Amino acid sequence: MAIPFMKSLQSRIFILFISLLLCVQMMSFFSTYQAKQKSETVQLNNKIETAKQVFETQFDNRNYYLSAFAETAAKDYGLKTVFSEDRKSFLLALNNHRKRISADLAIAIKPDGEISGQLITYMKNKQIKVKIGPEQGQQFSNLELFTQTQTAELYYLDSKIYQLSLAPLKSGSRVIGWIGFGYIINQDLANKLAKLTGVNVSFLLKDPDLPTSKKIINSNSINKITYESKFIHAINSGKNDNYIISHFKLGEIDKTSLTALLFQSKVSVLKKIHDDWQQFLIIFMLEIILSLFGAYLISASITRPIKQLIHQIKYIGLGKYDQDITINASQELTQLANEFNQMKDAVVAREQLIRHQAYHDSITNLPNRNYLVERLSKLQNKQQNFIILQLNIRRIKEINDTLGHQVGDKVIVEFSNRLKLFDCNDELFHLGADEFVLISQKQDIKKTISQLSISLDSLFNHENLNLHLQYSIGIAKYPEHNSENIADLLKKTDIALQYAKKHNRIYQIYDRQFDFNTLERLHLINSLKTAIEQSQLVLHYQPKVSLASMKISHVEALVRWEHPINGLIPPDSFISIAEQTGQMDALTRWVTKEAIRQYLAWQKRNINIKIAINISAENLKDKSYSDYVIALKNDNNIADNEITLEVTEDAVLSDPAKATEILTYLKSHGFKLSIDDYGTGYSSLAQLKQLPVQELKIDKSFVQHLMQNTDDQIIVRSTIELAHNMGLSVVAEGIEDERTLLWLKEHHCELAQGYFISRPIPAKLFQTWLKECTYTTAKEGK
Amino acid sequence: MINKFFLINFLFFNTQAFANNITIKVMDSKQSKVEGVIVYLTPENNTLNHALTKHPLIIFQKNKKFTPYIAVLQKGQEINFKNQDDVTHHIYSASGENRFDFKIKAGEQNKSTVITTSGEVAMGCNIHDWMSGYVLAVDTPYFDQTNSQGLSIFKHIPPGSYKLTIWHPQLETQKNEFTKKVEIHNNYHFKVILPKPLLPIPAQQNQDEFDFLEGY
Repeated sequence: MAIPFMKSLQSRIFILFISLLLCVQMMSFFSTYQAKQKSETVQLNNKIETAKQVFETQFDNRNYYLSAFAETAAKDYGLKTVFSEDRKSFLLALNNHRKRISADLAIAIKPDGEISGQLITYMKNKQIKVKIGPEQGQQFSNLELFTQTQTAELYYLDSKIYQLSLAPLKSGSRVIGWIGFGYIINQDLANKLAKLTGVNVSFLLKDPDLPTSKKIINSNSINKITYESKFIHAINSGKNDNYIISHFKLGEIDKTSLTALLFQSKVSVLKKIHDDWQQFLIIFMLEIILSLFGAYLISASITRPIKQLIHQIKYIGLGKYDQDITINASQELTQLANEFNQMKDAVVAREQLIRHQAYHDSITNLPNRNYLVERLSKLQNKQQNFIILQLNIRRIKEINDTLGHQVGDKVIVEFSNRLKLFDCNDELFHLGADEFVLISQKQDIKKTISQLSISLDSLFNHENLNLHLQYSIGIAKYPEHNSENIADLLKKTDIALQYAKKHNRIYQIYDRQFDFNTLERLHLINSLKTAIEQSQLVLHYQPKVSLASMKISHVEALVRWEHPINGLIPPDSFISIAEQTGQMDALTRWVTKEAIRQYLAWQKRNINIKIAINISAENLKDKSYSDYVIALKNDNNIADNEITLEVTEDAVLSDPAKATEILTYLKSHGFKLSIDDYGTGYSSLAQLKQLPVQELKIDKSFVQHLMQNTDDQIIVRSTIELAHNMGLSVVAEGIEDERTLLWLKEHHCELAQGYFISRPIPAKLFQTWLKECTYTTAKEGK
Repeated sequence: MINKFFLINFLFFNTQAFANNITIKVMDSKQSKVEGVIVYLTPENNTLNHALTKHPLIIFQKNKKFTPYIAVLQKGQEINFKNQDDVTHHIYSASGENRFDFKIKAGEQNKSTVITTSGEVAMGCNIHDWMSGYVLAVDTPYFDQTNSQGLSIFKHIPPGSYKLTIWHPQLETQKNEFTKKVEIHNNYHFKVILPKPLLPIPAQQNQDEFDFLEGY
């Protein structure tokens, strides 16, 4: 289902739109998302940066405040005077100063480094109390660091970190001691700074060489998350990407350094983006739905005219050209519709032309065979009687070959013009080349033909060359010659035409007899091979009378085909097929083998009759048949001149040299050779003389009417004389009466053959016939 | 310790003058003469009767400065502060045993201060922070301050063992002093080379621009 859907233009446009819109949406969505994220990150970075600045300012302010105050306090004369007096007075004075700036630590140091006073604050019952520090009376470590710098330094006392600033207590310019004030760095500070900066604040007191911190002070988390020290370290080292950090060193205590760490989780930013994202998504979905709807409308509006177009084109495709394509659409589609209309008109025009060409001949512009076939169908429906005349201009090929095709075409056109003028009631068709057909309602064929002759027989003058238009006509009648298919009528006229041409007649009316040679030939061609293989063939034997002794001395083996369906088929019908389909050699061999078998069978029964076998031109082309028949003769020890091979003049004439060679070869192996059907061919005596034959067989056409035709008598008599003079014996065939037989005997013809003596009869009947006939045989003892 | 780290040369001048006149020349390591350092000799055997210097030490307050910046006196000697400025000063000494303070108005003087304990008196003015002056009280009548040639000359010093002390607030040594035992029998000329150079003497000058005061 998916693929046809995808193939639809509407779907494609729809999908294209949707894809584009989706892409744009996605891009805008992600760019917004990214920009948002980026801007939030920048904001966060800015926040951290601002926080850092605020933090530094705050921290520096404390430093400055401490150092400025220590400086001021050190110059206080009251304090100065009590510094060297009793400790109690001094500590009270020192605390008095401490209170002024709410310092968490106050300290006084003698020039030798001894801490003469140390006050630290602590919380008791939510009230700030002051107590003597644990280092009072001890040496102040690292005094140099504090005295050399004006700013506050970090001071580690009692596990607490202080910012401490010392100022010299002077008598004149003589330093008589140091006083200092400090602020504690504790969670309160971290919280205060966190509140000010808006980010998490941590202080890490850490030896750089150690992984863990000596002390960590964290502000209360903004997110109320309690940060583990491990976690703080990860953030500090930058290993946690979820936090934006800023860290900087505040100072050192011994070897450890105090680092301030400002950090803000990105999670809070991402959460904000996530909240916005849902809003985005809703807008996005709404846009998608609108896009889908819009894309559907657009694709539908684009494809609607196309669908209309397709619908109308389909209509035209069915061959309905009556309607023009009209659509109300874009310029391009309208143009397309116009193009289609033009194409349609062109198609209509071309179709008419093609139809005309399909139904008319290009030379004469007469209706052609297709038209004729249609016409015949119509006529058939009218139940009218009519005749079909198929005309063929003869020797048009010769005109083409000698005078050129242009002249040939002129002749055809002239012929057609004459036919057109013949009778306007008749319908004229030009089947192509030199073939025409007339359909006429006239029933008198002879009269029609004679009228046609008047129209056609005048000479055709071409460049002072008078051409006589010769033609043959085949005729079929309707309904007399109708068969199932009306088109068969044309076949029938064609068969009649071929017959007319063959027999040099002007016209021939169809006869069923003609069909055999045409239609059933085809079946025979196919079945002849099986006929030879399956012994459907039989040999009939026609006896020859030796006129001198009036004995039956010879037989001629004649092949017959007992077709299982068609019955007995005469040799004239299938021998020509065998010749044309190259089966002649096989047929002759079969005949030869069968005849020799019969000869030997008779010999066994002491029926001493020589046998004659017809061979064809095929057998004279090379020695293969000769070797075959020689081998048969030798294998069966047949005496010389027992077997006569009859060959027609035509067979020899096709290749006289080769034929002479083969015949000589056969003769040398003891075969008697006879020229069959002598007198029908065109062979000259001179040619005959060259042939190594011993016998002439006068064609039956000279013999059949011998008694009635004196010309035939002259021909036969002179032929016999001539043959005898050349040393040839003579056989006459076609003897149909006794007088002819006697005439021939009188004129010394050697052998006689014909229906008067016997028809060709099967071998079985032949023996019976021999016993019953009036002739004696060469059989010994009779 | 000092001997170990610093080279000190006592050069004996070949003189045939009468006994017990001592000349001490103070130089720094760069052979430059050092002016204004306190030089005093304290007898080892403190059986000698130290005659008290009768006249008071006068220290002026002029141009909001202590003048001289550095001075020496014998224990028990009084100091006479004389204010030559047109403003009041509040003179004090806040360290050691010799603590005192008083206000002294313009053009007046104060004679009440008697230094009874030997040692350094670091003075300041509580009104003018930059003012600074030193007085060293010694327990011997043999004291002097080097002149512009870096020389201190002592006359009629009885023979005996003495501790020679050179003191200056800007001498960066223990207690800002440099001591050596000396035997005095004849006239001697000493040359003392200080182990460390003197730090610059702080200018007694207001660092702020109180120009407006000039109009008063």
